[in-house]
Amino acid sequence: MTHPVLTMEGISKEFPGVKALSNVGFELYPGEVHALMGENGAGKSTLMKVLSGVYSPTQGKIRLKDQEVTFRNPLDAQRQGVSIIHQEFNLFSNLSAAENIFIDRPEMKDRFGRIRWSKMYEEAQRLVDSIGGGEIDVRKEVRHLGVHSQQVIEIAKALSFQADVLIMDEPSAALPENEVKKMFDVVNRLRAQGVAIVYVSHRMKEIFEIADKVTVLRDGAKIDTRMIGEVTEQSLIQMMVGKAVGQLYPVREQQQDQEVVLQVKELSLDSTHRVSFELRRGEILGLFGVPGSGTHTIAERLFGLKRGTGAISIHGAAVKINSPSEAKAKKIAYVPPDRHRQGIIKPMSIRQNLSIPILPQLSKGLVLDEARIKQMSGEYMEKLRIKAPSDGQSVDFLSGGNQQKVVIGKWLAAHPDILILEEPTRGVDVGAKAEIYSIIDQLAQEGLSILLISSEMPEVIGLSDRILVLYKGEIVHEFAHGEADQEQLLQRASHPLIEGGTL
Amino acid sequence: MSAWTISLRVNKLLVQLILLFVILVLFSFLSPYFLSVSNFMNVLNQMVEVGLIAIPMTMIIISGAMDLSVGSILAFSAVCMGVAFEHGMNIWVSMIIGLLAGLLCGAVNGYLIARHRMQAIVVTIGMLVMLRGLVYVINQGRPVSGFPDAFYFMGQQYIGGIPVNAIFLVIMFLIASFVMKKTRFSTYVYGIGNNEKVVRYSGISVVRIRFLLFMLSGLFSALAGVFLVSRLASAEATSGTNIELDVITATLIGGTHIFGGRGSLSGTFVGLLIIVFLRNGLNLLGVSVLYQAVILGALLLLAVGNKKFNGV
Repeated sequence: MTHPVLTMEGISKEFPGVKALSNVGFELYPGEVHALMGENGAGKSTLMKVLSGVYSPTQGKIRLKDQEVTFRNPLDAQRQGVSIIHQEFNLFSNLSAAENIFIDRPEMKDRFGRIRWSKMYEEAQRLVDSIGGGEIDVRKEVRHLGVHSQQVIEIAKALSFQADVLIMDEPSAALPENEVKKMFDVVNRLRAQGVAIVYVSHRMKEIFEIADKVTVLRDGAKIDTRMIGEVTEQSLIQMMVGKAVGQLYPVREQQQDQEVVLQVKELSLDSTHRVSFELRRGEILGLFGVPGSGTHTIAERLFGLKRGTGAISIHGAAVKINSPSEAKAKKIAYVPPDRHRQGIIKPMSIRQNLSIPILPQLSKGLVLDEARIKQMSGEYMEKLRIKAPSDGQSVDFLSGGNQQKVVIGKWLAAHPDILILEEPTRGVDVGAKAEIYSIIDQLAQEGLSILLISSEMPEVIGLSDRILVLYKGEIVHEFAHGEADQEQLLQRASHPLIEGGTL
Repeated sequence: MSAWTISLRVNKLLVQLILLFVILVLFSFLSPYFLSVSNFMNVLNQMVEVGLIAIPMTMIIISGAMDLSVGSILAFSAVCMGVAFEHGMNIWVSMIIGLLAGLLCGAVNGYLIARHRMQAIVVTIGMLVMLRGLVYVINQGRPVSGFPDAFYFMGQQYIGGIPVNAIFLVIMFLIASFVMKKTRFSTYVYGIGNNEKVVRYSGISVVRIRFLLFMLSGLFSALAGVFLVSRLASAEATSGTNIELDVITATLIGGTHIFGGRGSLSGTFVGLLIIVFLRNGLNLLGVSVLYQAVILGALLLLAVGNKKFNGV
């Protein structure tokens, strides 16, 4: 291969008390897509921040096109040809696409300081077209554009600085499943144009689809860089975790229990769409659909966060659920998709977070029974293997996986009959994922009925006894145990009307 | 520098106590009248109204909201009580009417804020203006006086040399502190202040807690009204004007975070002592009320600003 466009040598970064990176080397060649992987806390984001000028390294050198460089700040890095696209886009939603691309750029002004609109629109359109975004009108305000288009705008902005290196941080995280393909097209065009791309992602499948090389970090050190053909999913996980992990998904024993715990009839999702289904004792029922298909609304309806019509019966008795407290009283628990905003109270302790749904049971009269609360939190920390020095620790300092276990634990302590899990492993590293999966499996075996809503197909397929596929507010297909594979699942979820997989 | 700020943060209550101590020592030297039992008892006697309202205010601010209508509720309750008494009702019945009036105002606040999710500041400003107007309408701005002596017991008598109302205030603070440390209500209040959504998603009725908080605030404002009438022997339309500013200042100086989630009643109590003794000392020195306002405002900026600069 040719000469590397970017070399990082012996990069170390220390924060008070923590060595986030130690002696990391990294080479990037033009026209390659280089995946960067590692568990949460492995140092990926620190490395990316060093590379994009947010942090300056404690030690080490960065060479860009054979010249040693230092980046004073992200704008400086951008001007020198290294741009980063964050998971959450940094766009002004009330400005046009073109304005976002060329914001605060002297070359777009004339000598009186007036903006040269026609030149700006022309240039912006040319940039957007060059990466296959021809259908985007750059005069439109960004808030009217879809997520994929917004990402294209971000990339165009990076390219407008003549980017040699483009860092993409979890680029598919914000995209609906069916737009990931479009993003790959953009990445392929960039690769053909000779841009070097650093692709940071948790999603294995994408790495194998798009990357040429992969570098794995663990505990702040580089483990290895390999060609993508040399590795397998299993070996990558091993490199990331540092030990062999067993099977990611537990082997589910087909449940035989036929007792229907939850029956939903004509449950309204919006003014026109209704769904009906049943959930049996000890069953894991997967609900899968692209965003907007109604899976999330089902969870909200069942947990009383949204009202509507339809009949819900639990153990054969008709119930009304108009608020989360009523849902809780009916023994329904809900692990929501966004743990930071809906699941944990960050400054509060593990103990307080675990006990909050069941405080009335943990009180003597009005006064909290501290001894029982301690005992309960100790029990669930052990049961869920929550790693922390003590249950008095604030959940803010826990890793994503342990935070998620707290959210699951607080509902298990309430002894529900029905557990709704939505995105139970979002933003959780692979080690903790396997643990959470085995917990879910064990719960089902103990007789808990679980509704699993997830946008991660392998998760839905790996765990569910049955899968219901939703499309625009309707259940369009049901897969029995072991029937579904990713392709079929995605196809049902995005083009339900086409039979047999041929277009 | 970091070690200094950390220890400063840990001992926040200690810092407040030191500030209080400095104020006490300073004024003891500056004014011969300051350091005396009678002056101290006088100060305690006068802080009760602000103190009573500061109890629910601390809880409300911890829950991430605000109640600006407390002064108007105080006056409304006081005048309702006065008018009932004038119409020939028994003084204790009149008092209960006053308390119910406050409770009703709190319920209206709570209903709009909790049930209809209106902004607390907007709702309570509306109530502040509306109730103050109503107070003048009810009694044409005429003060009511001539209550029986038995009623003055609450605001003017001493038990063992300590004002009755101050004893009542301390008992209320002790009960409230217990509630805010040892009951699930406190977990909910702190939880709502930190992340309301999580509390709701934990199957707890946030509406009920918020409603309860504003009811409490209405009730305690009314109680403050009753004690004020008892102390001054007169129910006036101007009672409690701007009292919310003193209450909020005491709460914030006491370390409660304006955006909620953090704070304590013990802090508020010390904050309360700081502002009343500061006021009293300045009064004794003959400093004009206008300068007192300047000094108090500066103190608040210092107390809150100090936190900002330490990145809290």
